[in-house]
Amino acid sequence: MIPFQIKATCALFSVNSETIYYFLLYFFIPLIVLFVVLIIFSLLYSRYSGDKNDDIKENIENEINSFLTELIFSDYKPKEIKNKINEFKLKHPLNNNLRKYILDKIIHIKENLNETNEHTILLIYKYFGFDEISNKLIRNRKWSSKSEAFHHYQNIGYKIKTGHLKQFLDSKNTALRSNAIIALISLSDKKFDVLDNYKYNISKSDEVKILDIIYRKKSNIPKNISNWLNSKNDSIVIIAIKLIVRFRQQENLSLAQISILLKSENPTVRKEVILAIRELVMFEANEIIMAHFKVETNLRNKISVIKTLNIIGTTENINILSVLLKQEENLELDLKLEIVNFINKMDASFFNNFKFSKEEKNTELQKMIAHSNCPYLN
Amino acid sequence: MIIKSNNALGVSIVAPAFNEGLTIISNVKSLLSQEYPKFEVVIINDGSTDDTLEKLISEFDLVKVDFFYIEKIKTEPVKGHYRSTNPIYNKLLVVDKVNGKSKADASNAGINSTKYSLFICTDVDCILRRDTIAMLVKPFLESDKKVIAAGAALRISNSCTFKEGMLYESHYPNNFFARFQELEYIRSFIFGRMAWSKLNGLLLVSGGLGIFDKDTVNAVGGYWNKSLGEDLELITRMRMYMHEQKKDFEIKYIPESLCWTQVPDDKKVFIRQRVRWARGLIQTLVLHRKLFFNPKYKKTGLIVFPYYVFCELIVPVLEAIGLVVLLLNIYFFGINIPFLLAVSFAVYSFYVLITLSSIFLDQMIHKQYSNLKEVIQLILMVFIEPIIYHPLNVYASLKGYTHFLLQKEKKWGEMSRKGFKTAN
Repeated sequence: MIPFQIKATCALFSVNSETIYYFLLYFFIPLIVLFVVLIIFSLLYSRYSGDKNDDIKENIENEINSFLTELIFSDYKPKEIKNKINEFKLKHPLNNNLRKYILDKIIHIKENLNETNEHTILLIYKYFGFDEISNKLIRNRKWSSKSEAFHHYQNIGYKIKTGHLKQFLDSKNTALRSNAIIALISLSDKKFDVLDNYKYNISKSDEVKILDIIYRKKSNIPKNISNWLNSKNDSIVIIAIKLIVRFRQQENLSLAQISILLKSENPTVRKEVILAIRELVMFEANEIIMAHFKVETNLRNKISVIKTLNIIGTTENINILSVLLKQEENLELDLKLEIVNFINKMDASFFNNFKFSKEEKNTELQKMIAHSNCPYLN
Repeated sequence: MIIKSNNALGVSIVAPAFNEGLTIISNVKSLLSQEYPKFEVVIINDGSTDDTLEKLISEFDLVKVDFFYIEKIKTEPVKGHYRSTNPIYNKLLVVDKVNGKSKADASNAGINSTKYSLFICTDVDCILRRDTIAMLVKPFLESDKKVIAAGAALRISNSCTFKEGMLYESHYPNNFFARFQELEYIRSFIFGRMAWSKLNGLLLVSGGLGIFDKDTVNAVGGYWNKSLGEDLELITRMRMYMHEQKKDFEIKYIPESLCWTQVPDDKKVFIRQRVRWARGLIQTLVLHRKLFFNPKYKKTGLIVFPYYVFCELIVPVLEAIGLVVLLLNIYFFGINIPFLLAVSFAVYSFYVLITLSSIFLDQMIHKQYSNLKEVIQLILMVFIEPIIYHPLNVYASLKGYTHFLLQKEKKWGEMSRKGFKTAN
């Protein structure tokens, strides 16, 4: 029984005081204490078992390394590989941790050594039963498990699974869709036609991954690159421009095409074109880019144009830009500095006779010139 | 892959230094050893009265250069910029300025001197993981929305050992105060920040480590140099700006330990730091009170800001009032001991459960400590923390609020650097 005193105090509350007391005493506190004990136990157990697993891994690391090296670099027939793996499995019963550890090792070897036999790696993957694991993962409802399976296929080079991946290209889950497209490009032949009709936005990090895959495949520039340049998907256009730069395929980027691309509403596309002109040293694009400078609204792109002129600019550009310097007194300082730097690099004596009407502007100009001339700042 | 890419986004690391002569060289070398293709390190010597600048000049072969300084954010005068004549250190820029009596002012001068569109703000005594830039830049590369800032987990370096400017072994701190702060950091970063990040409701990216979109920071005028919680205040203003511009945005938290920092290990410095934090909190919430339940600021005004008011600002006050009421009750009316014990134990055990859950998640994700013994020590501390450490925090918070209400002059104080343990 709850003491009378308690009843009196708690009568102030609308909830019956006895109910609160008994709720705390017989439900809430025991439940919390149970959770506390469970968490402490799990914490200690997971740490202890984790340390133990690390010890096991450490102990057999050398054995696994030499076993995998032997399998990958010897000319064993498929049957011999199967037998050796079965022997290994008998000697070291594989738990989930060890399985994951070995699979990661195989992927690591495949990723880091160029001269590996893809067929042998695939056989090892299958005979260890890792394909079963990947299949289970891909059937799992969690997107992260599916992505892990994509990662296995991609890194092992399991091309037969490309059909399974295509269904995820229209997934509503952005991360899953992104992982699927990366895996598909990696597993596809060298045509990369999966990108032809891809309608979703590709993030900058995926862009980097896609470009890296294409470079690593050592293929020629994709034949459908001109279609990509005309794609309605800006991400595909950006990838196309980057590939043209990487493969130095200037002929795929005509002046007409540049003019069209510079009219894009997306400032990132415009910036990519400006960078391409710079990287490909396209002197013939000088007029186009100068004309574009006047209509460009994005400050960073304007600065980029001037930086490009540092590579392909001529003395004619100096006249236009110096007029701009005088006319537009409130020009952004970053842009102004870039223009002064360009002119100064093109013609070191130009500013000897160049004066603003306001003295403070002249002082500012001198500081910009000093910055431009400093060998440690450029 | 991003680390190797030619298409990486450029990032500037901004690190203010004030009287850091003891550790400045190793810390700058540590910052310079980041594995990332396109970055610069901007160190701001904020009018140090020791030999910080001299040491930098001599170690890195610095010379004064004619840097064209664009003061987009107003700061105390900049005396000069220094670059190295040694190509090995061509990523280093040192800004020498007049002391502005705040980290905010120094950071602003650094931001004005950066050349890339993203910058990381950190303390010069922080040790960063070698892939910190690559990790922090990821949300900016992956998100469909505009990311304006991102942060990551900070850990306590007091008992860790470092080798060549990098973390070598992570240990649970030996010091009494540092131990409790470790618990607090884990709880805050694992439970608090991760959850708010999921809701895109982060209002705080720690001053110890955060990456920011420079254009947005410039648009809001940079750090406010009169703020005592400049990190919280900046993010609040950035969120307000984005809402006012009706632009979609994200602030991300990366669940990785990327930064190790020294925390106060004596009571005096600890209380001083917490008083400043509390004062910074109330200052920011009062300054931006128009956000409170203002639908114009959407999630920030309707959820995040009220949360900070009710759960961060008011809680210490409620705890103090609760204690006073309890004492008055005992004195005037007598007390129902069984009921009091039941309620107190329920609250205590719930507190312990939350902290333990954070530690559990932390161990699952980071497996931070070197051995099982340290994990056991950490667990034991969980049970003492609510009784010993938490009241100190409440005291510091109330003191901070009082200082704010009485408009006491702000004092930064100095935290003496002890250097790091280095492994052979």
